[in-house]
Amino acid sequence: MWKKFSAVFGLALACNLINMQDQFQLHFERSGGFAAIMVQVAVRSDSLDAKEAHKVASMIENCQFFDGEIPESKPSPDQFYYVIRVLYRGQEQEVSFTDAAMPERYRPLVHYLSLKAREKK
Amino acid sequence: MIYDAENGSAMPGRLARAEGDAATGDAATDEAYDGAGATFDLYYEIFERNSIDNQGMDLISIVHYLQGYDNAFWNGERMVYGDGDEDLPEDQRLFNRFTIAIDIIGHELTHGVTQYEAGLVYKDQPGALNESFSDVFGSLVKQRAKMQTADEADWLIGEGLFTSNVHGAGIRSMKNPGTAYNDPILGKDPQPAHMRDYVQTTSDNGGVHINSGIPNRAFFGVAKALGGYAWQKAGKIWYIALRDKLAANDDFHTAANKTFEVAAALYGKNSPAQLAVQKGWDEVGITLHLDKKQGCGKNFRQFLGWP
Repeated sequence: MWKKFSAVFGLALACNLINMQDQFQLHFERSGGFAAIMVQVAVRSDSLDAKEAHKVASMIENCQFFDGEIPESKPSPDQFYYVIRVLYRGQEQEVSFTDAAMPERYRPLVHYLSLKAREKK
Repeated sequence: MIYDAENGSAMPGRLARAEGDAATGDAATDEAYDGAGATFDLYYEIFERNSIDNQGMDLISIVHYLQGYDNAFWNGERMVYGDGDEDLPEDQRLFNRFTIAIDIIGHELTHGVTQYEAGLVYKDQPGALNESFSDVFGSLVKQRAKMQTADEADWLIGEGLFTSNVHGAGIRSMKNPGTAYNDPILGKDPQPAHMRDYVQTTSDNGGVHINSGIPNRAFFGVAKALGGYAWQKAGKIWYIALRDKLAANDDFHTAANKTFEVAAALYGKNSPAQLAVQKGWDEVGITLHLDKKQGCGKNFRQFLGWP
């Protein structure tokens, strides 16, 4: 059921991309790693300036957040485990992966969110 | 061999230092080279193990991985090291480069040894054992490099990894789990030192880096009781258990029993080494289950009302 919903939801978003008139929210969590110190951050588009909000929306689109394939992550020694949730138009979608399983297209978004989370500390 | 990812994600990257090459002057490259060498030497000279797979596998390390990557990991084939949070302003940085502590290098390489031997599943208690074995042999690499006895060693994991902005001596303490750091930003080191404080969590694959404090403290207790260089007896018991006895889903109690068996096989039943192993686990709240023969004997004596 969830898969079906995700597919429909993802298709709609993939076709329409993120409309900058609508607000979106991101939640990022990074756990595990050698030091096992969790960091997390929440980002709301309405708290960003227009240029940054557009940049983040582009990163979400470029990683095909709503419809791209994510390889299965196996627990692996000392690798980070990332969880990203996006709330957009009242719907929420989540992806998660380890360092080794992270698709290359996610790197800019993960780098941006990791920096935000670490700056917050 | 050391490769430089040049702050990107492409692996392995540019060959920075091949086996036998002179020092490059790049701290991460040279620390990764020297640390891998010291780890290889510990396994080869003390435990007669030829590299990660015991077949002479090349040791490949990748340094300068990504930007602001405050981590090190084993990816199933290689060791990977980030530069810490060098992308933040200096007064906000928490981590130095991850090659800075030799025990981190020994820790990562040991994940490879565990993969080829016990294959401990990276979750819950088997995962915490996997982490603990990496801390144990990482610490032994450091102790041997400094020629320190169990009494002289600091038993810290990741000493020097935190910047001066952090109130902490290291990432973990095997001697006193839960005391390595206590910082306004990072909080307090969450490791337990005893089974009564075991942390039930789904985060970090079931708290593999948290509950590893319990077997870490057990090893410290054994090494301290035996005295001298920890790699000579305590390290040997743990290595043989990892190589020959432990299985993928073993928990703390099983590990305790197996190290107890190995101690008897290596040093004799009721030897000081075997009793030290029993005491080390007992101090962390793990009581050994004696084998059937010993158990029956005890029960039979009780049945007869003998002391």
